[in-house]
Amino acid sequence: MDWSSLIKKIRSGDYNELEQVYKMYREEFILWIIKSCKCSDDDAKDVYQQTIVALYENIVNDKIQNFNSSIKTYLFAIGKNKMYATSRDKHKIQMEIDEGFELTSDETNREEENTKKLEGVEKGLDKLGDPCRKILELYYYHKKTMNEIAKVAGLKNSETAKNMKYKCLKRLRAIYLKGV
Amino acid sequence: MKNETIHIELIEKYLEGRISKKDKKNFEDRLCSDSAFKSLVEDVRGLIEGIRYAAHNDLLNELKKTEKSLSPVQTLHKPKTVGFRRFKYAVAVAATIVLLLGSIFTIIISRSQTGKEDYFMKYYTPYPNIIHPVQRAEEEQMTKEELAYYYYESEQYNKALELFLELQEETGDSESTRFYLANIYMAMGNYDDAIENFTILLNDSVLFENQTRWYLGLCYLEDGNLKAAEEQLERITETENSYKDKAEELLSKIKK
Repeated sequence: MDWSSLIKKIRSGDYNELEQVYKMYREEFILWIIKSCKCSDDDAKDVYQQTIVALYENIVNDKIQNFNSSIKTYLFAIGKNKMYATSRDKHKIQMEIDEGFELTSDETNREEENTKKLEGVEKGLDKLGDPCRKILELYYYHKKTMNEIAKVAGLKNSETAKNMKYKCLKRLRAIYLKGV
Repeated sequence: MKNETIHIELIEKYLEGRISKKDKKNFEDRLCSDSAFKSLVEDVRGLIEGIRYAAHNDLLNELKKTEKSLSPVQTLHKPKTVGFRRFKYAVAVAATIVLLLGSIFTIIISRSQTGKEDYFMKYYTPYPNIIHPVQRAEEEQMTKEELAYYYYESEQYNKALELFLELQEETGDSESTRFYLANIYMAMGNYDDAIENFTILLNDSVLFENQTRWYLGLCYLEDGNLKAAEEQLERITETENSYKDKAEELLSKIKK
């Protein structure tokens, strides 16, 4: 598969298209990860899943610029970064345990606080439910147009979808603020 | 309410960099002067981040579901670097030795019956015990390590396996322990675990390199993976060492 057909597939398609891509490189990638980082099957699968999600996000956010390298090379490059990031995190945790101290820099505190906020919004989305959750995710994460969202959510047109999206965001804000 | 919608629309534009120069100036001035507006901007920014975070997790979870529905990747084994240390596993292996030996025996017989040359049997002899040569002491007087090598040398592989696994657990991973452990698996016909351990050795050390490549090559040969066997044997022939002649000889035969 080349880049243009992959990008077209991912942008216009649904989850099934991404699933096909996942299956396409799965075996080779997972075996490679196991060999490279001598990690368990489960860790290797985690790295592969994160890599596919990163590929997806880069495509929908127009972040892929170098079309000279093959999709496989691109995936393996992301995988390598993910692998290092995972082992860095593990090392950090191990260090905290070994040294018996916690990293309490401002940065760590900010990170924790930020994660807490994100999780708060995630819980808010759980409460909000569909179709609001779906509409918000389709727009802000999957970068779908209002027309596409209207179709998926069964709304009259893009204008209705747009109004609905604002209503949903306001509702989410109210839920979130109540929970804080 | 209507106002809030207009505000959110403007905030979105600002956050996405789609705002005009003039509007941007007004927007930033207002951020400084209007605290309610400022907190709305912060909220919207946080909500959008949170929505992306949640959707990112949703997608990861979908992929995890997909993964579960697929058949395991071929040649993926249980994580043996941890798993094979388990005593429980050693007991299970010990219990299947009879079956394994039986199947090896059957293979040998069937091969000799078909007249096909069995290079594995011709070239394979277990690696000698050079770590703790048996001093003919009483078993009771031996340390665990000496006993382990004694069992290895006297081909009591089930007892040897148990002790080698214990040694690895107690004294940490050493090259010689893993090398003999791999040899035990090989002698027992458990080529998967033998290959796994020989491969780990090759990644980590050089002391037993040629020996390791030789036995790994034989494991692959017996496993039917000719290409991998050739690769190991070829690596041996690249340097001067005591396995070079044997490796060349075997290579020329399997390549025929």
